[in-house]
Formats: sequence, C-alpha cells, structure tokens
Amino acid sequence: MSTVILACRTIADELNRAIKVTRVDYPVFWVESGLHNYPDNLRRRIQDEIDRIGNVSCIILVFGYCGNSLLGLKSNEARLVFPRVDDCISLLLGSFQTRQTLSREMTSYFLTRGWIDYESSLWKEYDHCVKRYGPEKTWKIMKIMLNHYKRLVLIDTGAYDLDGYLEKTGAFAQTFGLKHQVVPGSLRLLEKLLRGPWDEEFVIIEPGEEIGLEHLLLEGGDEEESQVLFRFR
Amino acid sequence: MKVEVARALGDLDEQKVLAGVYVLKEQGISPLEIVAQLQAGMEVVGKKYENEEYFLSELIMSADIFKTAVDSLGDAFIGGNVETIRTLVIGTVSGDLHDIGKNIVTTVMSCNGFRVYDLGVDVPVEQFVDAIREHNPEFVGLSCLLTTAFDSMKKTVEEIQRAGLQDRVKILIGGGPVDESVRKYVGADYYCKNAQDAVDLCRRLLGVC
Ligand code: B12
Repeated sequence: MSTVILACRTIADELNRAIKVTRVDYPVFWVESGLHNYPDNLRRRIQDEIDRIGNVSCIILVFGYCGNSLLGLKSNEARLVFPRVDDCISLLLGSFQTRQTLSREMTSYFLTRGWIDYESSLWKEYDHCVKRYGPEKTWKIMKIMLNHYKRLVLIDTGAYDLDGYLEKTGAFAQTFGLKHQVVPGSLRLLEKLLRGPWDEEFVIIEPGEEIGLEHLLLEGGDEEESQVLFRFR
Repeated sequence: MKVEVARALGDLDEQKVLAGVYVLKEQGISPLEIVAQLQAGMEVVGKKYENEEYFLSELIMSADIFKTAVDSLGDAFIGGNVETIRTLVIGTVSGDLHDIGKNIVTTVMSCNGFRVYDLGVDVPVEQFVDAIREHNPEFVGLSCLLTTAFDSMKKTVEEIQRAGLQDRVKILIGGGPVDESVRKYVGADYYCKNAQDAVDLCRRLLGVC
C-alpha cells in the first residue's frame, strides 16, 4: 500500500510545514502554480501527473476544487483523496466557514506568500500590467478588477515569514483604497489530510471512478442552510 | 475591413477598432453585423486567454473596448418598436463578486435588442424577486463563478418559485464552472455556455430565430 502526494506549488510553504509537523514521509510531486486562472489546463496537468505516477494505491491531491479543476479526474489504479474545500483559500483558513465569515464581514481578496510569489494572482496581474501598459492603464484595469472589493487580506499561515510581504500588500491596498488586514490561517485541514482520519471533510474516489459534482455535495444538513456544498456545521 | 475590426479587437488596438467601426457604420453596414464582427474579436481574445497568451488584464481591456465600440453605435440598432422589446434581469448571485462574464452577457444581449437590467454582483435573493416584480422580464440570468455560490443560485431559483413567478420568466444560468449538472442541481430552466448562446437561446424561445 503505497501513497504519494500530488500538490499545487502555490501552497508549498504550508504543505511542507504540515509534512514537518505530522512527519508523514510520502513522496511529493508538485504541479506548478499559475494554472489557477485556467481550470481546464490545470485539470489536464493534474490528470497527466496522475497517469504518469503509476504503481501506487493512493494519491493524496493537495488542491482545492478550484472551479471544476478536479472535475472528471480519475485513476485506474489508485484511490484519490482530497480535502472537501472549494479552493485553497478555504483550505488555508482551516474551513469554508471561516472564509465565509470573513467574506461576509467585508468583501475580500485573499493572499499568501505562495499566491504573491507563484500564482498568477492579482499581484502578477498588476506587475504584468504596469510593465506592458504603464501606470495609467493599469490603474483603470485594476479598478475594474477590484471594483467590488473592500479589503485585502494577508493570511498568516505560520508557514512563511510575513516580513517583506506585509509592506508589499499594505502599499498595494493603499494604492487601491482597500482596507489591509492580516488574519491567522490554519494548517488543521492539511495536517488532517496527511494524518487522517479521512472523514466527511475529505472526498475519497475509488480506482476507476471519476470525480463528479455528486461527490462534492453534502447530503443532509438543516433545511434553512440547504444542502450546502463544501460547508460544515 | 470586417475582418480588420475583429483582428484589431483581438490585438486590443482600441483606436483601430473604433476607427474600423466608424468606417463600417459609414458604409451602411448594419449595426448587428458590426456587433457580430466585434464578437468575433472577443472570441479571438478568449482563445488567446485560453492559450495563456493573454492575462486577465487583456480580458478586461477587451471587454472594455468591446463596450466602448458598441456604445459608439448608439442605440440605432435596437430596431423593432418599443412594445416588442424583451427584457432580461441579470446579476451575479449572492456571495460571488465575479462580473467580467456577466458584463459581457449584458453588453451582448443589449446590443442584440434586449433591454437588460443589471443588478450587479453579490445580489441578494430578494433583490432578484423584487426586480422581476418591477420589470416583468421574460428572462432572468444568474451568473456564478464560485462553486460555493451554486447554493445561492439554488436559493434564488427556489425563491422565484416560492414567489409564484416561475411561470412568468425563464431562468438562465452561466459562468465558468456552470454546466448541465449544475443546472439540474439548482433547478434553473437553461444553461448557457457563453453570451452568444444566451442570445440564440432567448431568440429561439421567443420564436424569432
Ligand atoms: C477574473 C477572475 C477573478 C477576478 C474577478 C474580476 C471581476 N471583476 O470579475 C479577481 C482577480 C478579482 C478574482 C477574485 C477572486 N477569485 Co477569481 N477568477 C477569475 C478567473 C481567472 C476568470 C473568470 C472570468 O472573468 N472569466 C472570463 C469570463 C468572460 O468568463 P465567464 O465568467 O465564464 O463568462 C462567460 C460564460 O461563462 C457566460 N456567462 C457568465 N455568466 C453568465 C450568466 C448568464 C445568465 C449567462 C446566460 C451566461 C453567462 O458568458 C460569459 C461570456 O461568454 C476564474 C478562473 C476561470 N478561468 O474561470 C477565477 C476563479 C473563478 N476565481 C477563484 C477565486 C478563488 C477567487 C478569489 C476567492 C481569490 C482570492 N484570492 O481571494 C476571489 C473571489 C472573491 C469573491 N467572493 O467572489 C476561483 C474560484 C474557486 C471557487 N471557490 O469556486 C477560480 C475558479 C480560479 C481557480 N481555479 O481557483 N477572480
């Protein structure tokens, strides 16, 4: 029974930290960042990796569902296990609930070091824009992009040094008139993913099965809250 | 010249797009045909984005140029008389702030002769219901890019039903992760892949292909 980890580079700081804490020593394969903006391409990349890995009985996918990026994935040999979260923002905040609470407080855009340095996030977009189109047009584009946001949130996952990043995000927030705030993250879900138990906070797909929307729906729950995707009570 | 407008938009050359549109207009080309050319340009941009040649910024710029170009046509092209104009109420559902796609749908539907009331983003369920009562639209469009907002869509559809308005409107949904299985889950009437799809569908439903 061999297990490997297939993970998104964007959350490398946090995964490496969780690996250290849990002392789980499964081999890790990384999928490069930057595919987040292209769910179809990301899905293809993950499937390629799954196909390439071979000869294992379990693959732990350290990804969020990320806008259908996991939809349709399958392995004929291995079980696939992944956290039942919509994306890595919820994963790094410890739950969808926390994410929801923060977003309801104030419309927010979230960042971590990984998002700033690796992902094609708002951040990369801004750099790209300034370089290519100059400050004036960049301002216009960023205003359209951030039209509905009130706050820039830096998630302190404890897995990277905030030094250097705080200044960056603070300056950005100021430029675009956003509130700037640091909130604590959590490695709870990542550690549980590595250590188990794989309860209803995780999705397990048997060999030969394809990941589908039905795997993500949580049955039951109270009527008022409806049958909420990725949500836990 | 036709191809040039599409290509210029594909290249994000605003001056050239606007100049091209002006020339076409002067030549007496019908506004709808010009819009079709502009949409072809948007497709070029979409392809370049998918191929990771363009960033989001370019996507936003293209939508902006598209809108400016369409606006420059005035509303001469709406055609038909006021009584026959059909209405769409559209918005991004509660909890979701993405609006690039929704705005494109709004522009494309408007320039295809529909009157569109855009409720914006993060739209509470009741606001959709109120807007249906107020504007009496034939169509309601729900946009959603976050999978966690599928439940907001579902609630919105349920609330429209509870208000007894479902026979008056057809509910269309769209947005990146939305597909037929999502349509079933939320109980909407139709799912549209893109803006043109929405135009074609609404026309078909109205029997004006
Ligand atoms: C652009 C974008 C942003 C921009 C939004 C700017 C804006 N003003 O809208 C910014 C950078 C601000 C942003 C923010 C966030 N985003 Co974002 N974003 C995207 C991205 C890359 C593209 C979406 C887009 O605009 N596509 C282009 C348009 C033209 O396409 P479209 O929306 O699909 O629309 C077309 C059709 O679908 C259809 N259509 C759309 N709506 C409707 C409606 C009707 C009625 C009809 C008929 C048709 C229709 O017609 C349109 C035109 O053809 C997607 C990934 C992706 N490629 O989908 C992620 C994505 C949606 N975002 C994601 C995330 C995680 C976020 C953030 C949480 C990030 C953060 N760090 O905080 C926040 C969200 C906050 C919130 N509460 O909403 C995830 C969502 C994961 C999830 N939970 O489901 C995605 C999937 C990326 C990923 N793989 O992780 N994002």
